[in-house]
Amino acid sequence: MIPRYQRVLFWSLVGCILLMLLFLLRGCEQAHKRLTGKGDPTPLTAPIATALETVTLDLASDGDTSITPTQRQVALPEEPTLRARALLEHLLGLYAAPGSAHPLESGPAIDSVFVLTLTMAPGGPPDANRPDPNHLDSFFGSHAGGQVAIVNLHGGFADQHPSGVVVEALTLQSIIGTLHAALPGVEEIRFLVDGRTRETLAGHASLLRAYPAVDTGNRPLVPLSDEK
Amino acid sequence: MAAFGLMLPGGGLAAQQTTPSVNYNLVFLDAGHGGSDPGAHLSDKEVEKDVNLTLASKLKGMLSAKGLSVLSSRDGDQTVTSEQRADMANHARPLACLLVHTTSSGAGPYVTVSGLAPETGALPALPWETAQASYVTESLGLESVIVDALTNVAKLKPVVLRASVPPIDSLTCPAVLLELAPISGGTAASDADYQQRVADALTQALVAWHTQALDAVAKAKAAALAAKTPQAGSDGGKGAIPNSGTGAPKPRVVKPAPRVAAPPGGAARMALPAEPAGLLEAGG
Repeated sequence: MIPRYQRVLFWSLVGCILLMLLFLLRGCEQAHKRLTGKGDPTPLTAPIATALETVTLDLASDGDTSITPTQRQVALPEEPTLRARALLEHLLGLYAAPGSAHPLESGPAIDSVFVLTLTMAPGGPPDANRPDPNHLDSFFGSHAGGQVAIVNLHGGFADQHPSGVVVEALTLQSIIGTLHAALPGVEEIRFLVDGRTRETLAGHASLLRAYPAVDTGNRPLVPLSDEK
Repeated sequence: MAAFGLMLPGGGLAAQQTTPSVNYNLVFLDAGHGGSDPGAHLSDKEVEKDVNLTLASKLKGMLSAKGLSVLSSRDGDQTVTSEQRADMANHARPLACLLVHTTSSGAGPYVTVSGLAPETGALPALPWETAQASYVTESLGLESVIVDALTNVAKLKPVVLRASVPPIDSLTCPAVLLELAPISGGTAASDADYQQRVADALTQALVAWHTQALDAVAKAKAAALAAKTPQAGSDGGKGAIPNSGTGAPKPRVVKPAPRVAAPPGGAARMALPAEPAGLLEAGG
């Protein structure tokens, strides 16, 4: 005959084991959610053997608030939108590396890049030869045959981006300059976050306006100490 | 589809209406963020919205002591949208608009003017989102005055840049954004002495800008009077003031009425944008 106290102890221990099991399962579930939340859900494209090519990256530096065009060897796909996405992922990946001059959080940053070619210019005469650099709506600002790049950022990237006028402006200028160097046919660049418009990147730099695609490396921010 | 509010320069569609001029004694101060928008986290205990407000309040007191009127976008921890900030400024027609931000990265003061390309041609109306384009030249003049003061008075090394930070692109006044970053020695943007140095310099700059603007207006009036004397009364005595072209703010006339709709329960100044007026979307 098993004493009563031993039976109570046995079932108490069984209860504790079950509670610990439930606690463990719950923890695993949360960890899994956290990890998959940071993952890039975009389907991977089939690997294609491409040769390394020289590309120009407009690298930002917080220290001297500059944008420096830098040549790098990168293997990129041929298709323009995939090419632009891979290039920007590579650029922003450099910022996530230790010792970066413009440190950003690691993780997927670019969801997709769309490059649209305009077949007509609804905002102006067909022979308009210069887009309006200030126009908010890309489709009205570009002329026929011009291209508009729409960069769709991951929400996580925007949410984790450091907040500040300069640091946000440098990120945008770096993206714009790099896209301009890789896709010279692009005249304007717009930004979305998770497929939606968003007022600012991280509280400061506007994401609502269309940015003219220009060589930002040739128009750096101006440190007055060097200018004077 | 982008929403466009319209502001009508005096020379355009609103020419026949009464055209109020620039309020030469008024400065618009915008302490960035506020309320539900904390801005950047400067440290464990400090958020940007509070530090911005402290600096703006300090500056407001100093400018008032110099005889300038100050309109603040917020005096406490309220949530004010970018649209509301621009609406407040554009209604008041201030001599200058100064947007105050702080950060924990970088070094020293960053002086920013809108990244829009300057618009020099006459427009029948200004699109709300890019209204600042017609004022970028004046903003660069104001930036120059502020940079001189920060360099010579505050003994700092400001960095100038161009960026589009809401609501700067919608402002119809010479507008400059100041972002204050820590300086060497670990002095944070929230440091009282550091803020005092910057506020001193900004006060001096804005007073100089005010004086410069009044001088330009006096010269323009004298020139207009001299031109009018041989054929007195030919313009009906309205005495329009031409643009001085000296970098001082030109007395533009802007009528923002189509954009204004009184929000339910809101202050009259803090108007929310009305439905798009649509004139600039006619191309679509």
